[in-house]
Amino acid sequence: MVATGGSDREAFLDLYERTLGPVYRYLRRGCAGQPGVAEELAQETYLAALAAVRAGRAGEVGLPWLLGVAHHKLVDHYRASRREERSRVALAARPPGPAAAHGGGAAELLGALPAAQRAALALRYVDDLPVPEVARRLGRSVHATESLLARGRAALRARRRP
Amino acid sequence: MSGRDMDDQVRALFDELGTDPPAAFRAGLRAELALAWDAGAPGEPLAPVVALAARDGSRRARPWPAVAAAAVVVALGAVALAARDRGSPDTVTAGPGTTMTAPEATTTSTAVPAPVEGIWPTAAADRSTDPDATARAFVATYLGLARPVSTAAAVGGLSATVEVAFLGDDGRPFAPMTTLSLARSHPGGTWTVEGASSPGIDPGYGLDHGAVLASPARIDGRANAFEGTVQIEIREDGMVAGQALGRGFATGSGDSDGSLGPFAADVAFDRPGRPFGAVLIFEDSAAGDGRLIQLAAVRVAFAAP
Repeated sequence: MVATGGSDREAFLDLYERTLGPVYRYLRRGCAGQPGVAEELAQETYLAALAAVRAGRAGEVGLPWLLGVAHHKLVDHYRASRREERSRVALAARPPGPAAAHGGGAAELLGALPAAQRAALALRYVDDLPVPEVARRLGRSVHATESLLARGRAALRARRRP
Repeated sequence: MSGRDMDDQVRALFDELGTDPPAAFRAGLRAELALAWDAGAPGEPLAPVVALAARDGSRRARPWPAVAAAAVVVALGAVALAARDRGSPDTVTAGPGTTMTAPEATTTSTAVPAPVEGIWPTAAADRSTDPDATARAFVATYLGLARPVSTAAAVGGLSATVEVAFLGDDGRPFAPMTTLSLARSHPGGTWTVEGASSPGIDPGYGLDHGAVLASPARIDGRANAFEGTVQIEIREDGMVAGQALGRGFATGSGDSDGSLGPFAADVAFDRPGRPFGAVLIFEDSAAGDGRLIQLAAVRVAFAAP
């Protein structure tokens, strides 16, 4: 971000206007279409950017920086979701989501998956990360991550079948 | 359908979701950012945990209702902003070689969320807000190993991974022994080790985080322990190095090229006094120098007797 003197505020808001589109689209894809989550994470991302600019690091803050922060926010979200899911069920079988019965669009299909499968698929297919890196980000073994991906793909295949 | 076709279909599904931000959201967030900018003195860091109250009901439910109820309130000039349970990362790695540290928040706290429950620590005295210190203390106290060093860390707002290795006599670290997964309940909170993973040890399906064990427990998976064994320990919460409910080992397999081979052992363990614990699967150094070559640790629950 390039800003001078008293135009810092305008430069920051201009950066926001220019970058919100790609940041929001990334977050919408990454959180499987949940608009509330995407909005919250976008807000957190830009508040982090505001803090960075305030701290004198305006030169670092651009679209790559914002996407990097957004990615970390998503991973935090995945991991928090995983902990929440664990606390709800002590590994009991998760009941299928509504889309399992009714089909639906991309958001419904992906939203019906367990959070862990959705997170693995998003890191693999939105971020294009290799499987070992997906495993590292999620704090799982490569084997377990491969299994998550396979189960997620299989569930999507089954639910898309007419 | 080929695997490549399925990959393309999954990508297409995600791409369908990449919609533009609604105009109302764009305008609303811009107004909030402008307000937040104006609320801070020029050049003054904005507290990263400061956030604005939910604008509408579309937000997801807060993960910690108790925290939301005891929300931290921050006053910035004339604007009072309700803080929420999640915040910006203290440190983020935005790209190769770029690490940024956000400033500390100035808050008036009325309640602090409980730390995340995990493998270690369980004692308040062992808790730390430094992920690196938490990782090194875990290795020293929980594993009883000397000269650990963390070689790499990725720290987010609520989660972190820290690679741990040993220092050789020449002062250089060996290859990483394990990667620790850490979590905390809120930005600025203390870290908890949730698990440990190593590329050479893959616990089996039945040993995913939260697995429920009864004695004797079948501990299996795949590992590369060429011409060696994998050691197994079952511990309950509160145990440290040298303590275990049960121990066992499995003959290793795999190949010298690093490929993994199956292992399995039935490990009997004493009746636990606590509901949760951990399974440790590790490979000792053949040099007998007390090092571990690799380690995986999984948080488990114990079946009611």
